[in-house]
Amino acid sequence: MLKYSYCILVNVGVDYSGEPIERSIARLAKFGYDGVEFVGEPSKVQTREIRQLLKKYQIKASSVVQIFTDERHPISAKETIRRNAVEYVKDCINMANEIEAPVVTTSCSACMKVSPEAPFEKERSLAIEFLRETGEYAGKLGIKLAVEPWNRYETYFINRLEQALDLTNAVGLKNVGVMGDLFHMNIEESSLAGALTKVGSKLVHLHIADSNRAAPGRGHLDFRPIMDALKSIHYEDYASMELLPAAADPFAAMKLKGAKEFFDQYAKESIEYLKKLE
Amino acid sequence: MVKYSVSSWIYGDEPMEQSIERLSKCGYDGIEIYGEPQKVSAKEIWRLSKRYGLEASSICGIYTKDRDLVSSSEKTRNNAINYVKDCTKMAHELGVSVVIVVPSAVNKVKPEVAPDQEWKWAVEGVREAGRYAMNLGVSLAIEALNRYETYLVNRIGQAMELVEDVALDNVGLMVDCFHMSIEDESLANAIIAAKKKLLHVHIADSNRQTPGRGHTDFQSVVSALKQIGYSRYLTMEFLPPSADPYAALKGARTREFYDLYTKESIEYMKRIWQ
Repeated sequence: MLKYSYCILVNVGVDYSGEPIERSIARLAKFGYDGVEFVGEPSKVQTREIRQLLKKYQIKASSVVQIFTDERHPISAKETIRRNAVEYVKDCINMANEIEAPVVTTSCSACMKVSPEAPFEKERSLAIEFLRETGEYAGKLGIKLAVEPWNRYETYFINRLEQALDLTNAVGLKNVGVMGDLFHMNIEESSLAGALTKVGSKLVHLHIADSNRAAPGRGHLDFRPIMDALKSIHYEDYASMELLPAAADPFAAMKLKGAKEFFDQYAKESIEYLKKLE
Repeated sequence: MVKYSVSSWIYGDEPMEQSIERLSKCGYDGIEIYGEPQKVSAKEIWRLSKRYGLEASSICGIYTKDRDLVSSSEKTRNNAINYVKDCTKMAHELGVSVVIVVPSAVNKVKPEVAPDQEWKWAVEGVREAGRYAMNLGVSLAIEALNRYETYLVNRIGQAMELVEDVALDNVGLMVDCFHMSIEDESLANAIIAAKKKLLHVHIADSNRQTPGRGHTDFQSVVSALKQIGYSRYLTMEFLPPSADPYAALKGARTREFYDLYTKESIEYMKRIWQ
């Protein structure tokens, strides 16, 4: 059995300046979600308040999704930026621990950074070091790190699941695994189901979106083989809807056009669509 | 029947003769010309294509930031219009019927002014270049790019709107299977919606590799093209996985790119078309 979650990034905004958290949590509880995926901005939230709200609406925290900016570039050539990234991830792990979220999504590069600062082998060893340090920290608190590949336009570093798997194998920690995001996978993988199957038991989290990043069913992805692949690898963790407007900068687009459909409409239809395919 | 070509700019700075010879050997009908009228000689292309029994299929406009039809700078907008006209002139000299137009600079992902104003500039710019092209018997094909390469026209429906607003018989649109795979709800439905306005097709798989190396269902793409009676060019535009599509011009290619990919693309599409 899959568990369902919805990333409230599109609702509360990247810095929690959007709708109040309570409204997002109440909506997801109403539509039958098991969990809520929170934005990793620990300084913008009160974890005690989140805990109370989760209890009030009888829903869990599924995960914390981290936001990697240029100042949080884990494999930067500059040590101060690398340290900043590590501290940021530890803060997110603490946040996850306080709201009892089992997973923190992670990356090794800043979002929208499309060219390296050093040769690949050098950056790879920095990535391993970064994942090992943050992974050990998370492990002590019983939290998993999920390494997420992004498409070519958002990073040059890890684009496909097999690259993330190779990296996590090199890290060699039980609690550091791989995640997939169907929107990115549509661009980068030659077979979405095939890529998930290959990762197998190392898959620890999943972002759901259709090919155009709208609700499942609104693009051209064939979810049947994807759901079958998840079953075949006995994936029973969260399937979290991460839906965003069609723009290189989805947050600017949200401010411009409101993105109303990403609230009630998509939250409701996404879970209905996937449950029908179970 | 459709015809097959490859967009020559993907081969980077390889001598034109080498590209033309390769395409001829692999059974292509044409070559899509890199839209740099100052750098490529129409006379030379004409001579080479005759020699190897190919034709020029189309002109692939290259929309750098100084060729932005919706720039807030009037000078840049005029430069872009003149650029499209120059490409049209080259098309005319080569007997080519289609010039590709992207109504904004590639990799520009944020508007500079209000969307309505930019749309007006796009309509005006394409119309001016379109009228010029009409006198030369050349058509303009609007290309939609994915969200990471432009904010202005991402989906085929938006390209259709622009075509309708420009309202010239010789201004239509094209589809690119890679961009459509990111932006359009259904590739086949987008093609069917374009109908007679569809003037050109770029072929690449979902990961921008050669058809067959990603997960795009080319069977349904071909069925849709047949349904609307498409009989123009299928132009291969496979590229390395990079955020900057023009990186292909800067040597980010591997050896397979040349002979292997060129050969397998036409074989794959011909098998499906039959």
